[in-house]
Amino acid sequence: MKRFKERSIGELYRDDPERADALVFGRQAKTNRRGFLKGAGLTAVTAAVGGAIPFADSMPGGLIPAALAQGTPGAAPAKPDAPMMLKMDGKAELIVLQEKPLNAETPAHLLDDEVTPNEKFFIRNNGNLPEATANPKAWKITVDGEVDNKQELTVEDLEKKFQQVSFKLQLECGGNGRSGFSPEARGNQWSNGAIGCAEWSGVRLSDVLKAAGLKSSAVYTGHYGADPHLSGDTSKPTISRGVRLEKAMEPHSIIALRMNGKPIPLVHGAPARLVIPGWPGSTSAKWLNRIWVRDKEHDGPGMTGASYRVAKVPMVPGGKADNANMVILESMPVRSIITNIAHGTELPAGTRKLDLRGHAWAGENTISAVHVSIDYGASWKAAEVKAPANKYAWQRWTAAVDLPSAGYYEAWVRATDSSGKMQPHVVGNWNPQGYGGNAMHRIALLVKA
Amino acid sequence: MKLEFIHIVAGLLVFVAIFLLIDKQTRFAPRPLPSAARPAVPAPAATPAVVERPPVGEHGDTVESLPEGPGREETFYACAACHGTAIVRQQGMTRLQWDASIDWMIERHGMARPDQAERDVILDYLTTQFPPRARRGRDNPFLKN
Repeated sequence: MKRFKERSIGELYRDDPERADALVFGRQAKTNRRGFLKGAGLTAVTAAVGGAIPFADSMPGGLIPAALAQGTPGAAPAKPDAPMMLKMDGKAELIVLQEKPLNAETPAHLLDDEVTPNEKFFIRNNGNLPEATANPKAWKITVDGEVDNKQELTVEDLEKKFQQVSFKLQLECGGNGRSGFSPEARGNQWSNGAIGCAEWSGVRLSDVLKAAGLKSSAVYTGHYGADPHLSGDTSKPTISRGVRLEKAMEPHSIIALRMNGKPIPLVHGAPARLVIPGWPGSTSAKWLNRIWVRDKEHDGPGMTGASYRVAKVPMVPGGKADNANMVILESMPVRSIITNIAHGTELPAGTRKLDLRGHAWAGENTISAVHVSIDYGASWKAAEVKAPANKYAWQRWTAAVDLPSAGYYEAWVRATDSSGKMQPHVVGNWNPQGYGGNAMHRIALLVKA
Repeated sequence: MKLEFIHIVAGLLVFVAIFLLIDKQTRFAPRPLPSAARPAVPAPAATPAVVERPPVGEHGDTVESLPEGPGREETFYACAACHGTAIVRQQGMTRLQWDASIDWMIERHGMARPDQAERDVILDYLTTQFPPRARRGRDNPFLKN
């Protein structure tokens, strides 16, 4: 006798969304161009999400309701297993993606602060944490390579000999949004929480490079930190990425010594780290101990192959990458998140107006528009967008939406950047390690009857 | 067909009941962990599981942290020498992608190169246990694995 395997709704949708619609909700995509919810199907999906669906008419067929999709379109299986929450002194309960190396992301609703506090800042590591230094002031940073005068600067030198600057800078993992790729791309399956915008204080990288005297052959930087390689092999750098000299010389690229006015916590790179805003976070080396000025594109671990690279000529999703077609990801793409209401919030009966708020950012660009929808993108409402505190600070957006009745809603947000690029509904531009995934953020809401 | 439908509806109702019970925050789970990776004392459904040991970069995983199947031990010792199993369990990849990942681990991260027989055992295991989960979009007529 055939044994029927129990399957979650998430699995059903992943295997065959249209069939899942037909089986579970009686929704038939093929009889109606967009497979909108009808009759018995509407009743079933209503039961599944725990409330009526006012905009069922515009809910596309085959779309897993966000309430069942665990936060992100296309996220991992909707199973009731609890995620592992971070328990660490000085840190909020972030979601642990892995323990060794330690990687943890911030749920969107914990990113509501204008300036991200240290405890809510996401954690990204490629290697092990180094030991905390006993004497932070004596921490040394070497600047060598294509310079006239090799430098060995201590943190104290940086504090005393260089102009001190302070900026609010967004710092985002290159893989933020990776969980939206289909098929899955290799790496930590970040949703949208590998982002923070803290106030970073320190010295301009350009001032330090100028002090070393750049040779005309200098074109690229290579950054090194003290984090030990996971294998225990002390001869191997864990990761060493760099940037084109133009970006290193940009006045907001800094060697940070303080995070939100306090010494940088160990897990965030104490006592000194780079902050290269708007570019993949891996260029912002933590526990910085060397900057190697190069006469060619840096080739340290993490610079070559498919690492931090996207396909120049679009490749077949899930296919084998041609390394010659992979180009370094520089500016991060446009992204927005809803931060004032948690995914899965129940609103009191009678709620008919809802304020939405969040942040939007776009790597090297600024935000030109943010729109919200509560009817699956059938109609959009423009949000108000504030100017950034300084270049590379994320921007606050606010909007108010009307909720016509009780029931299940999804709030969607999308941003458009100053170059005219908008966040897509689904992640495209597949690449083996999943960079640049910036689909719209969706949260599920339930207005009680 | 009818049996399957009933089964799915029953499964769905159970799922919905559990879904409504769990703490909102837990729904952000990027990827559920197998039972072996959870703390020994089961947490009540309404409380998110927490990392009971301080996460200072040690994974504390054992062979049992990976799902049972042929090749589990070989896979565990090849991978967990450097990193925890959570990063493995997050993935869902084709054989071709897993094979490329082993190359990447050798070239980029200094993994000890397994011989072909061992590599096949590991690849069989990974491909069986962690295949692509998603057909999140439509069929891809161009993708050949």
